[in-house]
Amino acid sequence: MSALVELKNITVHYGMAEAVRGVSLALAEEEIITLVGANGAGKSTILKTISGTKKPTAGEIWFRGKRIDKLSPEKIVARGIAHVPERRRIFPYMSVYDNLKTGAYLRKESEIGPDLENVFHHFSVIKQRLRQMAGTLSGGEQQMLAMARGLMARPSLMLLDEPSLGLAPLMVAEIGSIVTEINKQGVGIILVEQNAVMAFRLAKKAYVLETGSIVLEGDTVELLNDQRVKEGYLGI
Amino acid sequence: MELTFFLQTLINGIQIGFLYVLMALGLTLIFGIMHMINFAHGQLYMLGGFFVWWLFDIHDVNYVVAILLAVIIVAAIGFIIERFLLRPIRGQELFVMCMTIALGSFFEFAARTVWGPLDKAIPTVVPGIIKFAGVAITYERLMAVIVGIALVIGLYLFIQRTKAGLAMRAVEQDPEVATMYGMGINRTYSLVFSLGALLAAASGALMGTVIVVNPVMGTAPMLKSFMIIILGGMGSIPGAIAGGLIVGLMDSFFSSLFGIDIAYIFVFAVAFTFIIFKPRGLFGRG
Repeated sequence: MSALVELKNITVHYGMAEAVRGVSLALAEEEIITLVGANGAGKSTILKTISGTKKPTAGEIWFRGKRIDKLSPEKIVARGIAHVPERRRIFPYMSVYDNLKTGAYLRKESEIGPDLENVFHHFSVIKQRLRQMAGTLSGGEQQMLAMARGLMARPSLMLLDEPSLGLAPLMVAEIGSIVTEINKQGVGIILVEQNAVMAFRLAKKAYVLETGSIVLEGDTVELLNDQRVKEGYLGI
Repeated sequence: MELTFFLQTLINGIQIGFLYVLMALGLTLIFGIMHMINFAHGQLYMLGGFFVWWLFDIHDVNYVVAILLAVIIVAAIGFIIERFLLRPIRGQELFVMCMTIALGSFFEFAARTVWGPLDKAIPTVVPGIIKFAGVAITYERLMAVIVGIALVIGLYLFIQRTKAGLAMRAVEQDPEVATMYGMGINRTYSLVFSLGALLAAASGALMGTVIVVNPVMGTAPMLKSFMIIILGGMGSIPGAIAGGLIVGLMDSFFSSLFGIDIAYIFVFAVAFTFIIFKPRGLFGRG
């Protein structure tokens, strides 16, 4: 099984402070993996480093056999990596439809018809709200829009940062099943979550981060029985 | 106040208002998207006026072509300023402010050196006056208003309907996410600053044909534009339009009634009031 994306010994700094230290991980085609850990453990920084909005100070990132850690975010998204950032970050003073168009910014407008249909298939609520100002959507709808915007880039890898944050349990469950659906269409997913219960259910493999380093990794089924994981992250 | 006098003052106010709108739009776009204040905006306006005079009056270039060329030249100057003078210091607010102040003085003294300090009148190309109901407006002023309105509509459509406009809105609202989806900040900033310069130049070119051009002609309109975007809401396009028209009307009415100096005092007093009691202006967000 060839890796879709592979991080080799990635270290990232904010100024003098080290946010991520020597992280290596790999994701196979069409797989879901999850990064769990407390606030400030470096999860979001890892996603930003993959999408190129943060540059690593050491290490390499390979995507489909090509090195990408020196590329601009623009080149990275063009290669098929879509970043759905933490706290939705939709464009609030733009219509829902325009938000979707930003996701497909680098693609020809004549090509995006099928992608819109795909988005409406996953998120039926979005179709009814196309003309609405995105900032007026509910939290759950904004999360759906953020994911839909990501899909409009037609990615083969989606970086999902805390999609469950601040959402009601019912909405979390719905987001979870949409993540599975998207993955079944052949999109690899790196899921960052504080809601480890949800993350472990969706992902095949998990990496546990503490203060910028991976302290534990393995199949989610096995990790579920790990005492440290149970106590620290699942609250069992 | 007599009805005719009222109508005449109203029409003058709208005419001057639209030129303020153009100027303020440029300033507010640059502020809203690039988060900086362009203190050289008035001098870009002045260059717009001077290039029209220089091309049309000195080099006999066709009038319409002269206006188009003047606007394009100043937009290109805007592009160069952003690319080579502002980009290296982006995010360092104090340096950016000093740079634009320095640029403003640079252009003012350059214009004085090259073209001299005296007023230059751009000859009238479309002489004549329309009169109705006792109100008179010169063709020249009417043309300035029509071109002004056309530019405002054009700008609106550009921002709302084109891909570059989509990127401008995205970069304004969340530059980091815009970058994630391939909307380059550098490209957008170049476009925005050039567009801002273009609008200032268009305003100066149209105003120059109506009044006169000289090296300091930009100072007063620039100060008024600051007041306009405070009134309308910094960064807001509808705000710049409403604010420009309001200030144009205030200018016209107060100067007809009380003289031009009092009119100035009023405009700035209104600005103080907004800064204290409604700092986000009429259309500001948040």
